[in-house]
Amino acid sequence: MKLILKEYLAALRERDELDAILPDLLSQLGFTVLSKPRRGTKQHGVDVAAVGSLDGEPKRLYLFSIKAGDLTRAEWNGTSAQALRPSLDEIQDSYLPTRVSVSYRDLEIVICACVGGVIREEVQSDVRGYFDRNARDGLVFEDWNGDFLAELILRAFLREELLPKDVQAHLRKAVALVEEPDAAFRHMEDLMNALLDGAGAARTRKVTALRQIYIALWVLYAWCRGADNVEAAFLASERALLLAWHAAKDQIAVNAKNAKAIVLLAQEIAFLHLRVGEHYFEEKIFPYAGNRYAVSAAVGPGDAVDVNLRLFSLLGRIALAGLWRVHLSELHGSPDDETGRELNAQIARYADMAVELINNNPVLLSPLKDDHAVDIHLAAMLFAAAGRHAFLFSWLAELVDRCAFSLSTRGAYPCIHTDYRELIRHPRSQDDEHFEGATAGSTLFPMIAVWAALFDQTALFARVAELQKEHLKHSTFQLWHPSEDTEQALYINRDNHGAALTGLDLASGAEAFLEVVFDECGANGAFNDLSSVRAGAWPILLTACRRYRLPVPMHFLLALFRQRLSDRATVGSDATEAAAQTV
Amino acid sequence: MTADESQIIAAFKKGTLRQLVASRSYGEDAARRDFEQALARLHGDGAIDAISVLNELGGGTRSVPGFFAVQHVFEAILPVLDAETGAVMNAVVDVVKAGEGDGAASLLIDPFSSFCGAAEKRPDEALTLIKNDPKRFALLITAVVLAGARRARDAWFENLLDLVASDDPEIARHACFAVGRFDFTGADSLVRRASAALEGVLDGASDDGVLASIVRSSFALGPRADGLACNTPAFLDRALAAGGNLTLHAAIEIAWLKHAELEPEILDLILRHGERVNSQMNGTMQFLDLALSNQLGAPGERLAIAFFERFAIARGADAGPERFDDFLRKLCSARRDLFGRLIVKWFLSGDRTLCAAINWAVMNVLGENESLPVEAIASEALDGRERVFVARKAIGHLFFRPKAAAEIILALMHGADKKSAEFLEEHLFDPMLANYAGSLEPFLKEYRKTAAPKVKGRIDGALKKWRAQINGMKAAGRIKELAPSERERALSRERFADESIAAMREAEKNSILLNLVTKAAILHGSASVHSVRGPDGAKHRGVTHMQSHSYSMDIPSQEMLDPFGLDYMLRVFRAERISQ
Repeated sequence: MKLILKEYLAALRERDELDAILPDLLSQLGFTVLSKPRRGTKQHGVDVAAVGSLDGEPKRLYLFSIKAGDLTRAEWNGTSAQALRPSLDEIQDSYLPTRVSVSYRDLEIVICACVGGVIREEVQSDVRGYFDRNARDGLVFEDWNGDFLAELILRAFLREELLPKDVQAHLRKAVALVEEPDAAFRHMEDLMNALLDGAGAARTRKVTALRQIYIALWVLYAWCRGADNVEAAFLASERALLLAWHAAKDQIAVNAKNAKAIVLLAQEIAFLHLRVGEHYFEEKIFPYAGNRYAVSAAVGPGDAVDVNLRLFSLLGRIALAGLWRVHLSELHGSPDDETGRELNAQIARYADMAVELINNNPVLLSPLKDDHAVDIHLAAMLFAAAGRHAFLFSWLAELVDRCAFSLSTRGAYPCIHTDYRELIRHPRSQDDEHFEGATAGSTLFPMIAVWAALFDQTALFARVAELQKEHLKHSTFQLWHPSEDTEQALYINRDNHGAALTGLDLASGAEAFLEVVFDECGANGAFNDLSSVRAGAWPILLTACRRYRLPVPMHFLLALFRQRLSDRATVGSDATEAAAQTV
Repeated sequence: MTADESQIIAAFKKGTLRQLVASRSYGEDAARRDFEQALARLHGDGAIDAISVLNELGGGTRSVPGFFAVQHVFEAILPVLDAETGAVMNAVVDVVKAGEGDGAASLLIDPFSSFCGAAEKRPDEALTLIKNDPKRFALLITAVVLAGARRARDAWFENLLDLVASDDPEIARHACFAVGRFDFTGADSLVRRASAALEGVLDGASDDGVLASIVRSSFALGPRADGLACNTPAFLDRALAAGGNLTLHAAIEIAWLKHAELEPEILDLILRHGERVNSQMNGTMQFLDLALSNQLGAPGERLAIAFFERFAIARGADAGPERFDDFLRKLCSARRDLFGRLIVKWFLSGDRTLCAAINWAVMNVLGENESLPVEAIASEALDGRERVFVARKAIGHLFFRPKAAAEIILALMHGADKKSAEFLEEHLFDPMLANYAGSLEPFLKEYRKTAAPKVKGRIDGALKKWRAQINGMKAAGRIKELAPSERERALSRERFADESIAAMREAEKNSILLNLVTKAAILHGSASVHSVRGPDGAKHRGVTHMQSHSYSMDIPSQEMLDPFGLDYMLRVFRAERISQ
């Protein structure tokens, strides 16, 4: 296990990656973390400050300056802004005289050079000489290398009483199987379930379990990167995000130290998931999204179905990542400052990349499964948020045309099957019985109809209505809504929950259809009672929908519907007023 | 008593004479002749009843073992058999009826005619029996009339005219047919009377069988004398207009068999009536195909093409290319320039059946490496819009023969304006090169060596676009995160294996070869050793070494990347029409 941890620590590429785990490690070791790293620069040379004791020694004030990977001569004392020696000088020159709180002035101070890998031999004597030369009474220097950090992690998180051997085995297997992401993910899932089940309701144990999960995810992510395949890390971190939210959702309003720690850890896991996703998209997908068929061909399909399934899944992931950025932008609240502009640029980028992906991979015009509605809905939300309405509706129109065509020819039409074995043989038969079974229900077409109706895309709405009338009269058109039982089941994917709004007949026209859909949204209080909605963390709900293939609730469009009603009322009253004036 | 005679008597007593006759029908000529003579002799002596063998055949169906083999023996002995006329007629009629539906069903009719003519009284006896029971015996009228005419032509011509004028349609039908078989040598007056008789029947005739016989006989009489009523298009037109499937079948059969001597006016007439042919009548459709095929390269070629086009457009799938395989094979292989021009014309029509005919011809007649008549295609005068339209049709219908589709696109580039040439270049790139680079890249590189400068530029443009696309795809390489899981790969392989096994079984079921040979499964080794005993009784050792064989085919890349999109595009290309 230690070797796995050492490999992981050495593989951390950026300084902020090591930053990300050190505070948690220290907290778990019983330290009080005084300051955490900020983005960009150090605080007078200090990345992390903490007070605590190791191995029964007296309590000391630790000031960490962090460097990822091995420490080379250039990184020790080169011209880089991240060079270590200048940071250590800065701590002595600037931090110590001005920043140390009065309450810690009596403590011995340890200035710690923290490296993920090792201090290379060529620079060891320089470092040692520096430490000896600058050490004085009340001030000592230490180096924490990967080996030492691995030992601490083992001691803090993975010792047997915290992480039994069979649970440790899951991590080892997950790391060993990163080339087979499904298998690696299953081990990680077992590990996460074991830790959270073992933690029970006690907050302290929940904190430990979430920290262990967080560390385990980092370990997995680092190994995935080494194998050039982050799929397992993506799947595991997404699942961890939802489990962490389930563990944290009742702690949000609680004013207790461990409650805050739980919420904070859930947040850190969410950011780790976004980080894994960003890595995946930026390195593997976005550079090739503009190349015709490049991403489709990159699937290396064994069956044509593979391209379809992978591309729709990818579209859903990109869209959701874009929507997370919409959420972060909303949280930030200042669109015009640097962070706000950067977030807006990211939203635009994710939307553009989704557009490129669709334009260059035409398989995204032919959904094979009804549950592709989830990915399409997420993409539609991103396009709407990014102002790509024209593209959205041209895409949906083409998609519906193709669906109508596949339904009429009984080709690869969207079906309710989800099992791969069924999908590679779909459609098994052209006969009516099979067709009606495979299309017994639909969430895809009602969802498209809602978007069309909401944005007055009359031709598109009519096309979907025609499709229902011509080919899918037997199909139960439906939309999913959360219900009272959803909150306890949603994030952990337990049992069936929620309710389907059925009896959706598009023949009654767009306005009547919208009324049915959004009347139910208005009457359904369960959506607003969901913890992720109450906390304003709506992308978590969307993540659960994507992950567990639940249709996205139409409540997300309720505001648009109300806005539309109000716009119409204004136009109506203006017209009435104008008419009255004319009279 | 000879050995044959002993065998025959023994078999007759055991009731296995039919089986014996069948088994001896395959022997060497001399032995077979000896056997046949013995059979006839023993029947004449009263030692056996040979006719009972025919009765046995007639009491069953043509699936009775040796049904036709036995008839071959009687074909030889019937003319010399000494038997009662009525008994032979009954036996022959039953056998002919039992064989209905097979081309050789009437094998015994001519031998029966010879039997009839072998004794003076037999034709009269036969005629009496026919008149007494026309329903049963009318099919022997021609045989009986010809037998009688060989002895007394004039008298039997009168008999024939009486029969032609009969109110019984069964008799009239066969009698009218017999007119066409009657020997009129040196008797023009009889020909004119026969023609007049046919015309007389035609007036008011409604029986399809009678009209079919009139049509056949009118063609038989036609060349014998000028100015015959039955020799005119009007006569044929009346017969065809009044007739049904059988009449049309007769006319079409004549159009096939007498194609060389058919007047264009008559051919046109038959083909115009042919437009209403019942496509369920497989025999008629087959003759129609042969008739059209025979006209290719002949004076009636234009009429044949025009008929095919009208028929295809009107009948759609009923006129599918497999129904006209001879015609299309000859068109594609022997009339290449015409085929080239028709490719353009038929694609331009947008008619599905005509387009499918091109597809069928290219897929089934044109060899994989054989070229299309590019110059003929290029010589057609088209505007830019039409060029692009024809190219899209070529892609829609010939996509799975990429070289052929590419050749058409390249041919259309000759004389194309800039805008349409750009479209053609785009189509040459996508979907053709983008899907079939493996075979099309070398082909295009070779083609460009001798291509006109403008076409060369377009080929370069398409190749450049394709290379850019390939480079873009190569840059992404395989993205591990997107790879199907091990389980999915295993399921795909399982499905592929299942489908391959099912296809193999289906192919084996329909294999002619496997129906002829025995199959042995070799578990070890690369050869099988076996010994067989030859006709001399000696054992011969044989070694069959295993051979490997393989077949490769280009799979369009879009089949994997966007199979539905590919299908959709091809269907759109096939369905679209050009506005006038």
